[in-house]
Amino acid sequence: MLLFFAGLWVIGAKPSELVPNEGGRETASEFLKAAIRPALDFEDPEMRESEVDFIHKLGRALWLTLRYAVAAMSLALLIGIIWGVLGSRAWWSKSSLFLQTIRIGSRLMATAVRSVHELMWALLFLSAVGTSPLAAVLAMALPYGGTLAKVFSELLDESESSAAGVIRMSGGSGLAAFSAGVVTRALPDLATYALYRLECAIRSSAVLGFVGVPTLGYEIKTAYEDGHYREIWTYLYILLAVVIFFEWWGARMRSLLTKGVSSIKPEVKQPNVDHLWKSRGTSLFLRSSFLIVLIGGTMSWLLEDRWGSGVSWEQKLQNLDRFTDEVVPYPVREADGDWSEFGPWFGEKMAKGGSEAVWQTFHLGTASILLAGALALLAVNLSARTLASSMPRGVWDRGMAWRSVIGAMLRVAAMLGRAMPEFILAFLLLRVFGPTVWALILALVVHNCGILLRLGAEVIDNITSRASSVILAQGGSRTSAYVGALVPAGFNRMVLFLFYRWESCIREATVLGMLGVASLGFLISDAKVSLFYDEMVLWVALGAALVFLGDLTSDFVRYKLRGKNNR
Amino acid sequence: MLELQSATLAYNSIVAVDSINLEIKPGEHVCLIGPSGCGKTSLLGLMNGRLESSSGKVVLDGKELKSLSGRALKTARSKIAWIPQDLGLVPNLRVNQNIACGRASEKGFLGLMRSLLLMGSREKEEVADLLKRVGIKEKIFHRVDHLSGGQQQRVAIARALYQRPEMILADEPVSSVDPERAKSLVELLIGLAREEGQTLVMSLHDIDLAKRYFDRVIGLREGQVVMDGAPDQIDLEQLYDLS
Amino acid sequence: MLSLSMKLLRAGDRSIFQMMKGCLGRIAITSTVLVIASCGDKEKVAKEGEREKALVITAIPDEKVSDQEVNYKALQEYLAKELNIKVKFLISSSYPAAVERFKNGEVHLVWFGGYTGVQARSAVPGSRAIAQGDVDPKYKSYIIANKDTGLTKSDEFPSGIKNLVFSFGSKSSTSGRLMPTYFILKETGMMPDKFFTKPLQFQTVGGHDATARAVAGGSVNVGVLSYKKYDSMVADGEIKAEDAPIIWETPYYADYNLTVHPTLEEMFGEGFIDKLQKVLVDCTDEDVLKAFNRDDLIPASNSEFEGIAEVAKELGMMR
Repeated sequence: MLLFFAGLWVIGAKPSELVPNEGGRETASEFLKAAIRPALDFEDPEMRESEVDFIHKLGRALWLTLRYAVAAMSLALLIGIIWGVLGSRAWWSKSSLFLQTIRIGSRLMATAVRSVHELMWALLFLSAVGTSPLAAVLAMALPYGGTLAKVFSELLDESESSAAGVIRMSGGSGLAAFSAGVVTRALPDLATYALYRLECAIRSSAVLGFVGVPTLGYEIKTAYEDGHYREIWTYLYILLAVVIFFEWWGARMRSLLTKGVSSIKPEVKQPNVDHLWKSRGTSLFLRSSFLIVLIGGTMSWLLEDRWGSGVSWEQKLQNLDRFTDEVVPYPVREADGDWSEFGPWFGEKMAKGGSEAVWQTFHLGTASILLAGALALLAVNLSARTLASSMPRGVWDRGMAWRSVIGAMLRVAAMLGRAMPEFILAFLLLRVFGPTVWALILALVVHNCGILLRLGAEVIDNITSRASSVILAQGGSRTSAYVGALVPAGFNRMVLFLFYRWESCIREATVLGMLGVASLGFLISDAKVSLFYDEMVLWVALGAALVFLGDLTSDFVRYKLRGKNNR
Repeated sequence: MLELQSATLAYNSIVAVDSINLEIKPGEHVCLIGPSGCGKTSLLGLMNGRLESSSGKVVLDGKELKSLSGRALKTARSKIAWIPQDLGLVPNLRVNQNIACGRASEKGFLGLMRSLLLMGSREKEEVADLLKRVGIKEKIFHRVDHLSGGQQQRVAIARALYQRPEMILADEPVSSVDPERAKSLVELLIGLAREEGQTLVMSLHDIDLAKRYFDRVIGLREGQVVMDGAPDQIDLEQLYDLS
Repeated sequence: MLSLSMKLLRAGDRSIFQMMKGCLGRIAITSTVLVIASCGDKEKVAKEGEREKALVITAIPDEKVSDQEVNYKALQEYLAKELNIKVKFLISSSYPAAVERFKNGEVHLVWFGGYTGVQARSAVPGSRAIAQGDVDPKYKSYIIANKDTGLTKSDEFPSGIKNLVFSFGSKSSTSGRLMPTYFILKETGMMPDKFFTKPLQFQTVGGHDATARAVAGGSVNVGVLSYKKYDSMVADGEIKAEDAPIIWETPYYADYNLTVHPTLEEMFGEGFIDKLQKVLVDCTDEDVLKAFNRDDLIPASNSEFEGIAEVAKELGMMR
């Protein structure tokens, strides 16, 4: 297995450039210096005179970022629930072939839709529908809906149990059995995942700013243009703070939902139903969260005053019409709809850099995830709570306090890495390192390592076998306990996570090319510049196909591994 | 009244139930006994129509189960309550919500949703009384996964009773409980069934319990009935083929 | 509202049903109120849109975008006064975005570059280039190099730069990419990606400003940008000419222009575009012209830019 990793990585590293650090060093140092003094006011003295207050601008960008994310998520939730149910085996209990095709169809559609990065959807929507908040929200809602659908289907399938069977056997309808027996079981996981997606949506919403949507990403981009590095840091800090808050909130909700709140003992000796009801376990946190989510969801839609781009409906339809027309490949259009022209055109495009771009995208994504995975594997040793303390795995070890400090630092670093959107990080790194692939790789690695560290640490912490404690009690070091007992026990699950992030890395790699370095994204931005929508769609579709394949592979591997685990 | 006529269940070249002829009269308390893998769960599955017989007939109150569908099937099913081996509870729901599922057929989808989300106080009282009968009234609003194994079993029993069935099928309800508790649970179930005049078919692997509480014991081995009668007729050797 | 909710949530006395009734009731009422309110707003906006049609202006982001809002203010006021209409300005975040908005009919009067103008006009039949800066018919680009390269100005094309790190401006820029590419092709017989041995760079943000700064700062060795921008930056002291000297000038070509969307005739009546043209060309107000960084505007016509279209088609950037 390890050989497999090393080998792949070597191949992946070849198309990339040399070690970085060119003349961007000055920019880098200036940039980093600004980190400690984030701006609270406009740096440009001219701007300070204007009516708009910096804090106000910041607030507005933040507000829009959140609002679009929430609106998109509410729509995505709707899509996800419908598609998710349609795509789950639990729903289609009577498996007629016709109905099964609906199920598989839903799943495939959901996967296809989420193979396209939201930035790509945004480009397509903005071109087709015009610059409007609706375009941005839809661009996020679609792929997120697809992801939710896929995960919901899987969760619902996992929750199949005799509870549903019992309801059905007592004469209940299939719908009742499904809702009360399957959905209720899956509900904590469904809600937790949806909250996690909300956190991701906030990141995506910020990133959409780079294509003109007035969110935090937009402010960062313009601040960079002006050289106002301190402002950039302010925006970054706020974004990170918000994302981290949502991560914390989601984690808290998860533990409350899965473990439940225990009831308090009623004071009365012989409690009647009312007393018992009042003393049942409830959580103010849970209930207020639910309320906030509900209100937030509705408000995000109601508060937008301009959903459209200010253009008449006939014009919009005309634009859409024209867009769909222009998406058809040029030679096919010229030949009046003769699709036999598609083959040669496609071949030509692939030859002129297309296949190379696909290859590069694949390697970029794969190399990054392998690197991230390797680093995470090594670092989990130091950061997992049960290891990085003076009482690792319940075995007392005197005087290693610095271990817990390192552990905490690593965890914080991972948290920051997770919270940072890959696109923005790549953008900034490119300024520092110059246009090499390394900037992109680093961006992907930092973010994904953060995720893998967290997931890996959880796996390690949850391993219940005492083999590691034995090693430690016998005087072995933490590392040997880690390598000897914990890694083998948790390996399967960690590889599961690796595959899960792999196809996400490929999707991100597609998009990062838009920042100016070779990958499909580069070709996409080229096509957009020349307004060749047919080429643009071709590249987007190729990228999506790559991700789709990756997704299928990842599913297959996970299925196999899970089967092994269950034995 | 339930009748099996040469009912067979076979799949993948495994014969789980081999041409069994059986008649269960209303109000009977029957115990199914036998080594693991002898077909107890499959037989129970045939009885309420959960599993479809590969050949032979399963007749409930004069109607063949296989021929029923739609509303008729639902009505037939609502007469039989099933307690599976893993209890079939929803762990993250409260006890009262799990109990409410017992009347899923009667309430319909919307009614069930209403009971789950906002149970009316009258229904709460009814559930509380039922729980008092099984002995865990004070746990009514606890999450099921906060209860002990024995308590969860009582919840499952309560849910079956809430359904107001004519017949209760219980699949090894006490296999994971210590003998003391097992005794009290079996006693409880039998007592309640007797009170309501319900037919009870329970599968057990503990011979002593079978002998003590049941008038009719059916011994199964490899999908076939090897004995059917009063408990003192239980022939251990025949059942377990200890040779 | 928040304190009310908190009170409700803490009220352990009520059953959840009553509580939810209370909460839901409040939510329902507030939502309904908001919906009605926003509906009201939308109606007003819709009616306004019909009554008060606005002339929407935008420009390509060939420089720092944050200045645009301020710079275009005077132009907005001027046009509003002279033509007695409502005028709005939108910032476009990228060159293609400006062209797309024009195609979609979201914007009506756009300050385009040569290439983007040609793209826009070929996409919207009936659109016209009506004005340009006085210097725009004879526009040129400068190739500049970082002082450490030791290169100096020459009349010959400096083929020595092929082993240096080179940066264009934005991908859609006429003076920053299209024409320089064309001239490199003419002078060396090779397309830039073949001519330069090191990978090419594009400034994805900041346009000409960014190119100038990149070269002056040393993160790239050589770059090409609009001559006007370079001259302004040196004049304003933003960069020092010694840090990034000009090493070659391109031949002349037509560049920037103000292009209008034909729906203006529908919106404001026939003859409006000609009126608009006159108003723009006649303007002598410095503040207004600051938007375009020009001293004067002269009339323009579509035919002046056919050369650009030819070049674009030859380079495969247009069909």
